[in-house]
Amino acid sequence: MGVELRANNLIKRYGARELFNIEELKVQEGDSLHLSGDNGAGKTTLMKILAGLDKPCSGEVAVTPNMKSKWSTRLHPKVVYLHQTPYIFSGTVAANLAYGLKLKGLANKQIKEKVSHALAWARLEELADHSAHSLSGGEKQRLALARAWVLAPGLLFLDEPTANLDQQSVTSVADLIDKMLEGGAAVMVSSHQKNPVTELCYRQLLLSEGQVTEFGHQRKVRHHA
Amino acid sequence: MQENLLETSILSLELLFSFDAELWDIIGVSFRVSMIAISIATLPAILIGFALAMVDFKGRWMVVALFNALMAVPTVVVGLTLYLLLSRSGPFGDLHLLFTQPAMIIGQVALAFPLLVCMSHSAFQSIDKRAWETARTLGANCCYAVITIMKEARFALLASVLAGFGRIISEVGCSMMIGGNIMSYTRNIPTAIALETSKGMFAQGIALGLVLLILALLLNFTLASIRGKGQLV
Amino acid sequence: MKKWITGAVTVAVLAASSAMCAAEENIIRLATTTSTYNSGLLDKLLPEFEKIHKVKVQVIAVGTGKALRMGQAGDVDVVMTHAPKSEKKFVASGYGVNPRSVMYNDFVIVGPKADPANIKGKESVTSALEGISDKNATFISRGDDSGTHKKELSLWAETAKGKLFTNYKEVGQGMGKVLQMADELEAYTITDRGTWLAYKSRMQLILLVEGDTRLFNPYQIIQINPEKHNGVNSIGAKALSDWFVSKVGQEMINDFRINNEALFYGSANADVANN
Repeated sequence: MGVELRANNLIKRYGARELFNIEELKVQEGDSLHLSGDNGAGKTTLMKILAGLDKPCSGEVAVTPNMKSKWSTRLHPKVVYLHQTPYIFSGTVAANLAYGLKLKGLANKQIKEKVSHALAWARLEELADHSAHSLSGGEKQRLALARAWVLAPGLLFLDEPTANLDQQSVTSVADLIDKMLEGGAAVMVSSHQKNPVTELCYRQLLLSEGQVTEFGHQRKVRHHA
Repeated sequence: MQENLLETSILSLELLFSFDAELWDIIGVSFRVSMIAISIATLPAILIGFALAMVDFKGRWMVVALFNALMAVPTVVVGLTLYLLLSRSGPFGDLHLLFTQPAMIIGQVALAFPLLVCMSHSAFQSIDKRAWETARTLGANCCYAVITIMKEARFALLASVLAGFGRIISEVGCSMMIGGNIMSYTRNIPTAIALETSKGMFAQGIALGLVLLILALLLNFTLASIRGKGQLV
Repeated sequence: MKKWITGAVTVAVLAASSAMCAAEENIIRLATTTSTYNSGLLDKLLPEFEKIHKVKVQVIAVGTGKALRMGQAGDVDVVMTHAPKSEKKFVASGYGVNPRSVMYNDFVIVGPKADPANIKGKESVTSALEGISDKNATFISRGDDSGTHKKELSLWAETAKGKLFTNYKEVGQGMGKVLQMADELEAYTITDRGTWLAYKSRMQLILLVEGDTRLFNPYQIIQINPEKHNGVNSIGAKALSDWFVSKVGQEMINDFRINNEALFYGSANADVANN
């Protein structure tokens, strides 16, 4: 299930102002990256472009293995982007988890099974039939992670996943992301400051003045159970 | 034979609840025509509203302003325009549509359309762009993402459909002009009220007015209760 | 402060209402039929009358039925209509006084050039109508309780089978609109000659039947009984009625032309309404 992402000569401009110009960026299977940078440096835009949700002004993002759908040349089914504040669909928690599964055309029984796994994974079992809009901020973030996890993504982009969360929620979100990494997914986390989630990352990237520089590369030995 | 409001109202209730054939015939025409019109107009109008809210293209503000302006066009002007188009000497005269139910439906579609576009546009505008991105990144194709957004905006969209229906079922100018108020065929509630009033037969006018009033109350109560629930979910 | 405002409002209301009362005396409200109004006759006659008497005549153009109801409710001062039966009842019930025959015009049957019912030139209006119903040709009826509608119904009542055919369409609209609809739908209809002359040039319809005495259309002017309602301008109503039947008024009616065709014939001296 290895997914590899390669970006070349990405340029994003707003009018005359150039937000960034990135010569090369590579994300490999099992990578965990922390993208830091000041607010407004373009972290969100860069991650959305990498995830295929936004268009660069020039340059290209290539994801292998190629699984282009006829609907979009940019979006890749193995690549998922998560907003800083997740958008939760109206309906129950379980319905939110089933959203992406239904799109894959799975049988109802399979969907049910996977949803209950995801509920257990994110420790949301008791809230399964609650309206998702009634969840707290931390629960919503966990739901969003589970909603992505259930699709077994190869690469996740997490935009400031711990902003606006209390300490306890930060810890549980970090636990979930750790579990994802253990599962073999590659993760890129953006954050302008260090926190338990960025601690999980061994590649350190800095987006500043339109350039991405890699300044730390500490291989963390992962214990696969 | 002194007529007063009370007597007329009682008479009108008698007409309504004795199921006066002519009266219910008129009500039937009204609902049939307006229901068909709203069901034709809704989907394309909502899609346009969606495109205006979500797709960035040159001159978008002009299209939005255009639909807003069209919304304010008096119904008689819409009626007159269609009259000229459908008249035997007009460009579509060969279709022989003037003074038929299809002509009324065309007129009501034309009236409901800009309202539906504008209201669904603002309904979609109130939906976060993140909803679209979340749907897409979770694997929804464009088509399904649109459906997802519509689901998220369903209360506001329903409100716009109800408002559109309210506008066309109570509209008199256009129906009178291009429908012709033909009994049992193109006579609907508003044109019948206009006629009965001009004849000085107020009881039937009031009975029909009551139907419209009850309908308006029902629509608005439905809307209010849906909105109320919408806030909780 | 509050008292001051109340005072000011009171004064304003009093001033306004007294102004309105003063104006009322110089206003005569005439309810008449749309067909009379559309012909343009009143636009020619009334300014003369207004000049002589220094009054303003407000014309309310509605169907005969409504005109009489307005008279009955005291909403107008005088009515001029053309439905002898209803008028007789109106006077007999005490709502109107001093009914006078003013003028008459006539009705005609118009229809499409193709004339599918083949009624062109028929002398009997009933046999023409029977031709229409036998062929189930489209016929547009006013259906609005107007004088013309009543006339049409009475003519159908004289035919063998009446108006029970599927292409008989009641539309509940004014004469001009009915002519337009008949033109669009290539249908027959009965119209007063005045409206027909006014619309003829814009129509593809042609005149098919005229001249039967049963197509006669007498107009009466009736003053509203001031004893029934307060505030009826009976003096003005009487003056207007007098003027219509005067020599000057009658001459002006006879001289009125649309497209060089006479429309109305003064009948103040020959009582047409009751024959």
